[in-house]
Formats: sequence, C-alpha cells, structure tokens
Amino acid sequence: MKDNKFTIRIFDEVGGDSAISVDDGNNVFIKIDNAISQGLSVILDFQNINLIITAFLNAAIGQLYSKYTSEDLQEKLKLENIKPEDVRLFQQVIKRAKEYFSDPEGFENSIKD
Amino acid sequence: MKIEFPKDICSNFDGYSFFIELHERTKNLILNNIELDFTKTEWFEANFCAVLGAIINEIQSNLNSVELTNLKPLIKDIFSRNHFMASFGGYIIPDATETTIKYRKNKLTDEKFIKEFLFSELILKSDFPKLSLIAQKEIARSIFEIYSNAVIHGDCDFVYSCGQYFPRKSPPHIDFTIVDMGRSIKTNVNEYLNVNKTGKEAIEWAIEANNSTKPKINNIPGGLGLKLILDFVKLNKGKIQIVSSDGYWEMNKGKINSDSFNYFFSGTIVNIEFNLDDKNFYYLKSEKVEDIIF
Repeated sequence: MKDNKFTIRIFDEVGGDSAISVDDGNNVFIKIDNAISQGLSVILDFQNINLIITAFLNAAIGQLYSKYTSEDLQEKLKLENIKPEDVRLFQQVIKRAKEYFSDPEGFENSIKD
Repeated sequence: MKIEFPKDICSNFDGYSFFIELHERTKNLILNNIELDFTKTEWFEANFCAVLGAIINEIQSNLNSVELTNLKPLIKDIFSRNHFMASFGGYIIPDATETTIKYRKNKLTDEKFIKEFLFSELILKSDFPKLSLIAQKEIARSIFEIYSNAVIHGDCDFVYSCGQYFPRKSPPHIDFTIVDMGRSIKTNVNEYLNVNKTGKEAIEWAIEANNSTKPKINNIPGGLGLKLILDFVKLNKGKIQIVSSDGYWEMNKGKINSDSFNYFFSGTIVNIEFNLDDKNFYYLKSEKVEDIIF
C-alpha cells in the first residue's frame, strides 16, 4: 500500500464508463468505508467515466456523511479525473448529503411539514 | 370491444387524457378481444408508443387479446421504424431518416443495457443534430435520472420508453417518454406523509427541491435527481410533463401548469422535450475538481 493510499477506479467498479447504478454506488461506498476504517486515504478515480447520475453519487459519496465528518473526508478522500461539467453534480450531492446528515430527523420532518 | 383513437395524439393534456381513459376502460377486462381502431388517427407523436405499450401490456396481462387496426400508412411506417409494431406482431423496417428512438420494454435491472441502447439511439446517431458533448451528456443524464426514479420509486417489473426526434418543428426537439406501471407518485407521497393529497398536489410536492419518498436504505440520501432535470429543462427552454394517478404537471419554457384528470393512471408517465435550438447547450462553465469541498 503506497503511502497508505488506496485507489478505487470507478471504471473498474461499475464495469464500464457509466456510473448509473445504486448498487454499484453502494459497493463503492463499502470499499471507501473499509479503507478509511483501516486508516487509509482513498483516491476515487473517475478516469474514463462519461456518465454519472445522482443515484450513484448519493450511494457512493452522499452516504459517507452518515459516518464521517466533512473534515474526515477532506483529509481522507481525494477525487481525481472528474470532468469539469460533472463538478457541479458532485457539489450538489455533497451539499444535500451534508444538510441531510446534519439533522436527519429535522430534515425528514421539515419536508413533511 | 372496440376503442376508437382520436384524430390527433399529441404530447399535451388531451393526449394524456385519452390514454388514461383507455387505461380506465380496459383495466378490469379479462379474456376479451380488444380492437384499438386508428381509422380516424392522422397524427400520433411516436414517443407516446411508450404509454400505449405500457397500457397494452397491462391489458394483455389479464389474458386479453389486443389488435391495432386501420393504421394509416404513415403511422404504421413509424411504428415499424421504432420497433413498436414488432412487439405486437408486426414487422421492423429500417429507420432511414433516423428520427426514431426505439420503443423499449426494459427490466429495471437492465440499467447498463439501457445506457448502451440510449447512446446508440440518441447520442451516436449520425443524423442527429450536432450537439456538444456536454449537451449530449446532459440529455443522457436527465433520461437516466428518470429511469432511476422509476427503479427506486415505481416498484414495478418494467419501464417502457420511446422517443421521437422532430427536426422540422420549430424549434427542432426530441421528445422522450418513460412510463412505469408501478406505484404512483400520489400513492408514494400520501403514504410517506400520511396525508390525502390529490395527484397534482402530490406531484407538486415531489418536485419541490429536496423532497423524496425514497425508502431509506443504508443511509443513502434521496431526491435531487428530478430537481437537476427541472433546472436543465428550464435552462434549455424545453418541456417536462409528469402524469401520475389523476395528476398532471408540466413545465413549458419555465412556465408551470397543473391539472387533474377524470380518471386514475396506475403508474407514472414522464415526458421530457429537449429543445435542440439552444445556445446554452454549447456553454460550459469551467469548474475544477478542486472546487469540490467535502
């Protein structure tokens, strides 16, 4: 394990150039979680990924906020090779996950009001 | 039983009303012969094949026979080119004009197959307008967000889809329609909130930013997908129409309308119309991965 860094290649994880499945996202989440739990830093490499949807990102990245703080993730998780046009998608998923996990019950109640 | 189709079937409230009434009239039939008579029909927007296919499958699931009769040559031609006829005993003919996006009945687990299909049908077609890669991606992403919604919320076996490219309309546009016959938005929202909203109220609630009835599994946050599509369609000056139960909601060039049908549709129809004459399609705001802050 070079420099305690663990690279997850999304192309390999999803079996192609499209990150569109919740199941694939969930598997990526489990890998990230395992690696961080073992004290590793994780590089999520999106090289060759041409299509990403929120369902995948909610599962792979949004879910991390149920276990880790922003500071943890800022320190332990690096994103690489994201296309410029996809940056906003990541920002929105992360923003929503932070809001959700900062107060899940309040979030649920507020949308039910 | 014979059911006559109207003169024009377009992607508007009246078009959806006709199909919801068709669903209502046929949903309780068992062991019948049903003739869908196209004698009067001169114009049928082919993306509606997704709706017709979903309803015919429901009819057939009750051991009824369905026959499409008296199709005008132009309509039969397009139904053959988009493979709709092939599902109901007809022939496939090559789509020389490349204006169709084929009718599909997909299992929900076919996500990757659906993606390959959509790219070959939409993105990589030689005669499609020369959209920027960004525009192509945004269209594909919007379609997949809708598929994903059907998978997560619909709790059904199949998703039906069909599209049509209208190059001579002003502006030129693509309509793409996705149908599931699973749980309606109204059912999901009313169960989730324990309220009794009408169909259109339930759709309005579901399209509010951050609202989601997604079952909470493994702490995965829901929502957002539909909001992103709405943002994109608004920017694109396109149209999105959502039909679920008795509710109708549409956003057309940013203007919102909603209404109620007289009958109930057991599932959800989403139609997206992408405006292909849009300068925004070529605009790319430069953002960097460093701008992503956890």
